[in-house]
Amino acid sequence: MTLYANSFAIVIDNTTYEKAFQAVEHYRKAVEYDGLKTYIIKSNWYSPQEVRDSLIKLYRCDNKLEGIVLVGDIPVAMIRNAQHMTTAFKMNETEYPFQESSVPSDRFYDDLHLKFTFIKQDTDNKSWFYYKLSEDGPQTLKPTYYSARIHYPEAMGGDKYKAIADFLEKAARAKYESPNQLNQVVSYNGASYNMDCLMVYMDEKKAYRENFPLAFRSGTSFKQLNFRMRRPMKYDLFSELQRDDVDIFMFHEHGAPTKQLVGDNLKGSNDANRWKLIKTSLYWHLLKAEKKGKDVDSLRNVYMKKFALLPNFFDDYKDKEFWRNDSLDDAEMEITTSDLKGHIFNPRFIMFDACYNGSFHESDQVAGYYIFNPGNTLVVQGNTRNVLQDRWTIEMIGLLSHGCRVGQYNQLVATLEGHLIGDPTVRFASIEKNTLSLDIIDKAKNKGYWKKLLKNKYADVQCLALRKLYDLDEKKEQSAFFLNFFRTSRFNTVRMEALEILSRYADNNFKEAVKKGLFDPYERIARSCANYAGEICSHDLIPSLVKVLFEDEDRIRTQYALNSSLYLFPQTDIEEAIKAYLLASNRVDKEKELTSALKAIAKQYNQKDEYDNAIFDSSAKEKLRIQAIRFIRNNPRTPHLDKYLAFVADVSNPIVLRVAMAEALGWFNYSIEKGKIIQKLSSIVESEKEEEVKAEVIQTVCRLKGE
Amino acid sequence: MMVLAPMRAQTIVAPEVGVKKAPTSFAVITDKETWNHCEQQLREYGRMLDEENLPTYIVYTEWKNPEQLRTLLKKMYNEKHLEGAVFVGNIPVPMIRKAQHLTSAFKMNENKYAWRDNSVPSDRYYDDFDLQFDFIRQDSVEKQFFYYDLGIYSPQYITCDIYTGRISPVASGKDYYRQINDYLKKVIKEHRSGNQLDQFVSYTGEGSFSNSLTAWTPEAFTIREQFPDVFDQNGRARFLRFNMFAYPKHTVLNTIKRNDLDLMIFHEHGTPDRQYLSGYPVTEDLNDHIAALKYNRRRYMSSRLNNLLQYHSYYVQQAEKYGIDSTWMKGFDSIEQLREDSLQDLKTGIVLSDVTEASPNVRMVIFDACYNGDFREKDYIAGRYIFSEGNTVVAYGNTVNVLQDKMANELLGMLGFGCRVGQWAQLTNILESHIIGDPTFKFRSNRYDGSREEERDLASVLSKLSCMTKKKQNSWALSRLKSEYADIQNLSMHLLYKNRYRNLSVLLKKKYDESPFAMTRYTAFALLEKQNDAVYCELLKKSINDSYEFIRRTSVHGMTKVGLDDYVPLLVKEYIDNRFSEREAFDIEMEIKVFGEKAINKALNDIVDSSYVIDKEKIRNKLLEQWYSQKESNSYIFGDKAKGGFRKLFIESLRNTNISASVDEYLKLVADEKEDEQIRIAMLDALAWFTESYRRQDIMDTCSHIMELKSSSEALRQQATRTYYRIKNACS
Repeated sequence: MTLYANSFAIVIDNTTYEKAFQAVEHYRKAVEYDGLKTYIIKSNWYSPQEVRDSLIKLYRCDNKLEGIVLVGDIPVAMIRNAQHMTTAFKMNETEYPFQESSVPSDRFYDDLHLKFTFIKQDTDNKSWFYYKLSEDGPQTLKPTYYSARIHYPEAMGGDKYKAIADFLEKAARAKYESPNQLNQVVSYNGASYNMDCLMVYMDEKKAYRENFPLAFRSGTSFKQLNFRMRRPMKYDLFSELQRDDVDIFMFHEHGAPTKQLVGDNLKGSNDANRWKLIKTSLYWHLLKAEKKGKDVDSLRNVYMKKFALLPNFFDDYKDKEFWRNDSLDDAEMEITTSDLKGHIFNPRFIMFDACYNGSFHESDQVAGYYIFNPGNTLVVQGNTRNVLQDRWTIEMIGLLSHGCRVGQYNQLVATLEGHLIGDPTVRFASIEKNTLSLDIIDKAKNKGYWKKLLKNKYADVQCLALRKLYDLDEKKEQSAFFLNFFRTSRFNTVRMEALEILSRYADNNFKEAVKKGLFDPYERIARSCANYAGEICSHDLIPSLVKVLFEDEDRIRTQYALNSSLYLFPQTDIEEAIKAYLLASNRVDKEKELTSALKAIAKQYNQKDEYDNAIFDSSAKEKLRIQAIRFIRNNPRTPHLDKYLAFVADVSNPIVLRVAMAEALGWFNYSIEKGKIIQKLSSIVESEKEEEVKAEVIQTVCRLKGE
Repeated sequence: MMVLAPMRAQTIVAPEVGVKKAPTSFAVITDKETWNHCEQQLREYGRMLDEENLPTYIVYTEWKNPEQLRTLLKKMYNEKHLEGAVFVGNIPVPMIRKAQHLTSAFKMNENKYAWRDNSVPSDRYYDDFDLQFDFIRQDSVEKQFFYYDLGIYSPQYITCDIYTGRISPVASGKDYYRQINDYLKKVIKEHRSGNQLDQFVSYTGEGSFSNSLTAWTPEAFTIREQFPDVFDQNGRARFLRFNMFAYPKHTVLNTIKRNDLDLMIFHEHGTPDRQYLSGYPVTEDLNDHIAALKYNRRRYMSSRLNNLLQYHSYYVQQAEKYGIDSTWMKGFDSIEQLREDSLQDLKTGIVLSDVTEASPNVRMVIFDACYNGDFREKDYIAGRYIFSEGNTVVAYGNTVNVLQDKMANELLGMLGFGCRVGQWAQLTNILESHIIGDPTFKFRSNRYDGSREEERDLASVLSKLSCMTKKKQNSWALSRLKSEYADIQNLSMHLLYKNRYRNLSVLLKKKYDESPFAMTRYTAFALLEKQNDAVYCELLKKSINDSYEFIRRTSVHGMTKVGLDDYVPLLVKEYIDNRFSEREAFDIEMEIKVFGEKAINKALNDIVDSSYVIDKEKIRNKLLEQWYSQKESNSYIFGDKAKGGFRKLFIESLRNTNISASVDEYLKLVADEKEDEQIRIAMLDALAWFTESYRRQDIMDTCSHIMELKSSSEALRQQATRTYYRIKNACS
């Protein structure tokens, strides 16, 4: 008899099970062959709650359940009142339709400690069910096990059951193949991502070298592609995706449910393309005029006069070839689902570090095309909503080099919108023999074991150990230990993990880490610290912030973060610091630089203050006031806290505004004044009569306490 | 201080401390006038070096010619264990000819252009005693220039016996001797500062290595191998690139002004008076596109102000091609407009006055660029850096143009162990590379508490080593091959190479196979290339797949130089698999024509067809088209088009592109007595560049034959002899 350390569940609807019976069984056997006891839970699922109840029941009986896969038509939980669990999604839930302003999320199924309240079923799409995160429940994600979806995008056409069966058969077959180590990796940076910052691109490689130690042994085993390399990149990407030796392919790009934005608009970088751009621009204006029935000839004459052009400039205006090339140029900037049709994709695991590409709930979505084809791709990671560009998307991805399953990795980096599509049990052969994959559950409580792993020679193993030690620090007293790790580790990713952990403590040690981290050699850390600095808003961070602002001009995305952070501090403090810095420096034209910096800063503060003042202006329109309050969520200005707290407490303010403000205060989780907010809001709870306000305040307090 | 009696008209001021105690010594070479104006500072400088246990002689005289100085340096090397020298003030400049193969890229026609321009100012004349030179003449106008041919029988590779540096003031308006005095003052201050090298910046300008991103990123990792832990705790290494900013100049100027900055390397294009940082910025809207195009047209026209005929044809061409009228060129002859345009142009580069104005503080600058270190000029970029009011003390630059595919960072980590700049440069010098400033400058070791002496104070260890027997040097080097530091391993390999250690190729190959350090693999590879033997030819098949782009790129280059058809499938595969590695792809396209037709066709069929790329035809056609230029080239040499100036031009082009596949035809031409002798000589000259070709023995055989043939003219025999020895003596 085989002894299984952990278990896994296939959750499937009856019809899919019947139609793909053999494939499901093959897959089950293959997963078992790969070491996981595998359950099949099938039913005619009506609601997500039904599915969740079954899983809760199973987990109660078998707490070694490490993951699930949802196959076929499994209802979709659309989550509301939980935007703080997303990385960036902040759509107004009152203003926009439920379908758009809710987050399709399988955290409903895999995070059993969360509390939800059912709202309603969607009337158009019967498989969508709306739930609200309860205000008095946990406010942070901590998935109990991992999950993935195998859901066929119906827009692909054909027999969905056969497609699912085919996928399960290939997933099953892969389990019997000889062990494959993670040593072939491709990363692609699409246009306009992270402001096309080249230091982001360069420094990512520092992390990859730690994540994938086996992938840097030949000239082609790690490819770090960039949209700048060729024009267009689209077809080259298809070629790379066809390579049958690639283990991981990462897309860092912008996206939509049916689109990957991979290329860049043509820019004027030489004479030839400047001509092309001028021609296109003027021709378009003519075309527009022509379509509106205006006199094209007279417009042409105007252009000839205005731009000193000769008649032959317009020779190609009627040329079909010109227009065909023009639309081709546009089409080459993106990969759409219609491009994906018929292609074969081979990388075993593909990441879409993009908005919406993983919208499994839609009938047409990018992610599905990548697994439902005869190629070797087994699992993809994508988001059902938009996602923060500054999210640390490759956190712990290197665990895949050490035999952890893709699901286990994804569980450690959970967000409300982040999902796996395909087989979550996929894993690569470990660099060295280890039991890490089992220890995640088995030794979850064994502090000594994780402490020992802190000395492991691989960065990601250390990251996991840090995370586990954080989980075990129930009293949240160990931030000094993590700060020390942050200060001393030579691994870029380990320092970043330590910083992320410290951010959960959000205490003085976190602030110290941020102060040092602003100068970190790893851009990723400096960028996070640039963001954190303003949110913490401790005065002693200002000199470092200003120094980095002037000295690290090469870190374009960090500069962007710094510029947002600055305005979260008191204006005079920033102005004084900039003056002091520049006057003591030997920079070229520093007086001129100072004048223009102060001018720009004053302008920005004025704009932000104007917006902020609208909140307190009772004569302003409510919609504007709400907008201004919602603006605080991305711009938590600690110096204004007293005003904000008083606003919530003031019963003369409209309830809807007080609720919005109470919610906005939940975004002050790194502020040095966090304690004060908790205290003040807790006192409001006691006296608050309005249930709506009270519920929101309770939720904010829970959020700030990190519960 | 003791003043020795003049020795052959030179006056030598001996060091104050006992020479016996120190293993080596150093010489300050200056002219009488400079001595008269700067004696005190020169003595101070010498005293400071004495204190550093580098006893220093100061020698001054009215130098008649370079030979006088070379003889003296040799003598001091033999008698006083001289390890280096610095040339302060007006010291004769050897202008080297017939040695373009010792440069990385310089290939100016020596028969066509002015000698001042087509010779290479090089202090290798002074610091490589094995090289042999034939004096030709002194320049009649610029009396400090002395022209030499590299001798036919001279070794055809560089191994410097000592290191040298130049302290040659610039035409900034400041008094010549005050520049020297002020410079020496700051050098002394910096020597005593105990500063460590822990702040590094690299700048990559527009157009460097085909703007390849794949070529750009590795430096962040190799520099960390060379300076382990230095840039990840208190230090920082930054990498600026032209397209990070519309105009990077402001950032670059602020960077060179940084007082905490220790080392900056510029990978860029350059001239004696300019650093080319960036081009016209990318334009994104209609008005900007138009402004850029107009600007380019005005620049084009204003550079042809004396040729009215060209104006007209340009107008017509622009009108026909683009449909624009003459307004687009308007202002090209207006002073105001030109002034405005030149201000725009100034935003894209650093010119001489910018440097002086910025007063750079970065202690050391490497110009991986053409001409920035051209001390033959009265004014030059590198000189401006060291003679500014700031704290810059030393620069490393080139006197002529330099290959973009040259390794600029080799052994750089030695500086982190407290090695003198000269000791580092001595190991990697090419004909055109020079230290501008004090070559004895060193940073305090970043490992001053290290367990081994070479980690704490590499300068002293190297001084001691230089006085040891080869056997002892080798034994030291062998014991350091497993040092935990990449550049100590690399230094060891260099020493073994210099000493012709037996079975070196096997040792280097093993090192290449086993080292996790990219820079160590590179050094093993580069030294094997110098060995140029069967091990190297075989290694190329492996190194083409190295994880380090520069090794792959150099392997591409190496394969095309060796020219074996066995390499073709590997190159085609590399072209496909690493097509995003732009510089490699560029090099393959440029050089694929050196191989045989059969091999190309077979590889295109086998490799392209079985590849995973979608557009196979595009790749096949591109490579075929590139290969076809072999036929084109040969048709200008042998075929219908073989006449006039073009014929010679195409023969000359073989110096860059060694078409091994056509060597039989080339040799036939050389041996053909009916052929124009000038053409035969030109071909012999071109074949002298086939030093790595697998056909080199055949070339040498033909040369031997001609050398012995009485019917050959003297000129032909001389060229055959030169070519013969160029190949024979190319390898150590």
